[in-house]
Amino acid sequence: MFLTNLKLGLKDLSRMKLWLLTLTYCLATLCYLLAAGLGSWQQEVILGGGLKVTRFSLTPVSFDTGVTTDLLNQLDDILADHAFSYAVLDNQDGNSTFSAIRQDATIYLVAGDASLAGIKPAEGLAGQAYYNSAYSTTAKNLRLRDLTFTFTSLPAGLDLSTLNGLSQTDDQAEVYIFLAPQQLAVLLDKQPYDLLAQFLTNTRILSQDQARVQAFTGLGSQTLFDISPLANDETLFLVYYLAPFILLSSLLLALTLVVLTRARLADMLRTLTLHYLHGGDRLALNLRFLPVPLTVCLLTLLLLSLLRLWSYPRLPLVTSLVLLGFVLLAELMVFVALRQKSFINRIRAEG
Amino acid sequence: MQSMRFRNQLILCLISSTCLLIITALASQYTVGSMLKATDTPFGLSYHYLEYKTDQSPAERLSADQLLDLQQDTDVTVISLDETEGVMGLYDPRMYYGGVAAAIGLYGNYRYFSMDDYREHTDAYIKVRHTADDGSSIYIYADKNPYVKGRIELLQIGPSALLYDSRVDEIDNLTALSNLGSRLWLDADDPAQLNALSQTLEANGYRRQPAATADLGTWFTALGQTFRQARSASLLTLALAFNLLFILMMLVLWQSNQKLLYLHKQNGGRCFSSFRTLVWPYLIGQLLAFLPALAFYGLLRQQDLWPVFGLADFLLVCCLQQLAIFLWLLLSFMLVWKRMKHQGAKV
Repeated sequence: MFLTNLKLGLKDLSRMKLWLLTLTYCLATLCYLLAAGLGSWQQEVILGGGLKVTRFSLTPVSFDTGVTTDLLNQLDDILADHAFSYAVLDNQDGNSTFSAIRQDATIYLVAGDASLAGIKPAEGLAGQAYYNSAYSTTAKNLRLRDLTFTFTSLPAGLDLSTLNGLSQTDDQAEVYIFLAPQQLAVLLDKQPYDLLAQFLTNTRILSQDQARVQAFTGLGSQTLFDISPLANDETLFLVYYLAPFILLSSLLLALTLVVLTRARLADMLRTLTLHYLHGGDRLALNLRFLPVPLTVCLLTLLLLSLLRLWSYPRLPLVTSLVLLGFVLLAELMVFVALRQKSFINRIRAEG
Repeated sequence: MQSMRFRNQLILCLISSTCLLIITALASQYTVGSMLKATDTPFGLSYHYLEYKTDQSPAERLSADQLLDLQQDTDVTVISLDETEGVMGLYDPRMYYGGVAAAIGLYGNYRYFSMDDYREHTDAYIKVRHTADDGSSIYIYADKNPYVKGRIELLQIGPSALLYDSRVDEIDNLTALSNLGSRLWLDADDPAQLNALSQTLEANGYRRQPAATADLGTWFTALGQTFRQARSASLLTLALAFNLLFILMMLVLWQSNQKLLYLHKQNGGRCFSSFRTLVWPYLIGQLLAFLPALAFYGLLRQQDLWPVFGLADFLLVCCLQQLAIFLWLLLSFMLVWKRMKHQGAKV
């Protein structure tokens, strides 16, 4: 009975070619869009802070590279709360301030609220300095100018992918220094302008704190930059554009699936009843409907590999989840519908 | 299958039309938007840009001070070109081209025009580097001597820069030039900002030139380019595929209502008259779908996410889609009616 139903189900396929092709195309495109959307989503919202955070565009409009203590203190105040910034320093010149650190090491200076940059866990970082496995030292403390940091190896659970651009290599010596409030001004004093420029460029501020955003753009006049907030176009696009698109598409897909299943079930009620009377149980009858979603899945996989999309990041995972959901949904609908049908009553009524 | 009740048909059509309307509107707006972005504009300006030309002699033309209000026109970009002199004037307080300076780094050596430059008519300029056939750089100094005291060289740009023009040897602060060039390009994020400027220009002998985006060939090229981006291609084709899916769904629905159709036929109903009687619930559902679609439009408008489509464009796309939906309803009905067998009353 199992085999017979499966065979008959395969026979049904020939009558639904257009359905199969359209469903395949829709599913494959949805998978692609979802994978692409998730990729940008991760980039924008998790790494960049998304809508929560304002970032800035800086244009140099002056030749004056003078830095005043007042400016550094103001920047320090801005970064004290609801804000985050960092700078990367290549220590090869043997900068006197950072002479305590090995010369071939890359130094990451991080200030402000690390949670805004997606660093986890963000608590308890201020005043700490970490080195990675390529940096060997026995020192317990790191002294830079008048500041002292506890110097330990990088904890395994600390995710710093925002800073080092996801590709953490173990052969490059790296030192991460998390600055507490008031330490930035001390450390940046009499440093190359490049370091301050990096801090300014990488600044992100919680969008709710508009006063702080204003204060930061106002800093521009004391530096050589013109500072203006950047629009969050990509995030807005993802949240208000791609997400509704994918949601509504899925809804429409599910709706057509419901209509299709119900109509097929109604069409085949007499056949199914006969099968039932001749000893087929409900599970066996279910098999009659299985070939359609399975074929759609196979065709989708085929289409995606024909388009050579497998190397696309996240697509295999997204596709397998979507297809699994699709098959489950289709089967569940048939299962529920078959459970509700009382075959004996139908026979009595129709004769 | 028993014929579906009026309410069910209405809800079904309401949901699917709403989905179709919004999907199509989103997809078409995205496609048009990326087409506009893909069109080749002079100096990489946005598609809002305006171009003006005049035949007046230099002495007759407006000066930058007569055209611009430095207090108010802070979100516009003006490029002025005088082909004979090899000089371009640039007024760009919104830092549209500021990226060229930001990208260089080396703080203190290079910079871009500042608002103070425009206010104080500073004689600052960006040097344009031409490339000879053998790859070497050429700097052409016209009659303006760069070593005159007071002249400030901000940075240099090469042939790959957006602002590069082979006729131009240096880009000057527009407010420091004595008059505007014979050709002008205006641009702003918000096109309304340009109204006052274009009025002044038109009152003073400048003629508006047709935009490069206006002709059909450009549009087709842009459409081709757009379809090379996987995202917009998949958005638009998905909208089309869902239309096909809707037809298939309606075919199945009418087919499962064959008993009812058969009764109509038996009692003398013709194809169109039966369609007229049976289509009502779908039609009402379809029309009701305008409401959620408009609400969605309002939501996105609030976020400034419809940069290309105004309400009229949105309604136009919606109406076209509604027309298509109605056509699909009719088409599927006709197909089913034609193929209806005598045993239409099966189960």
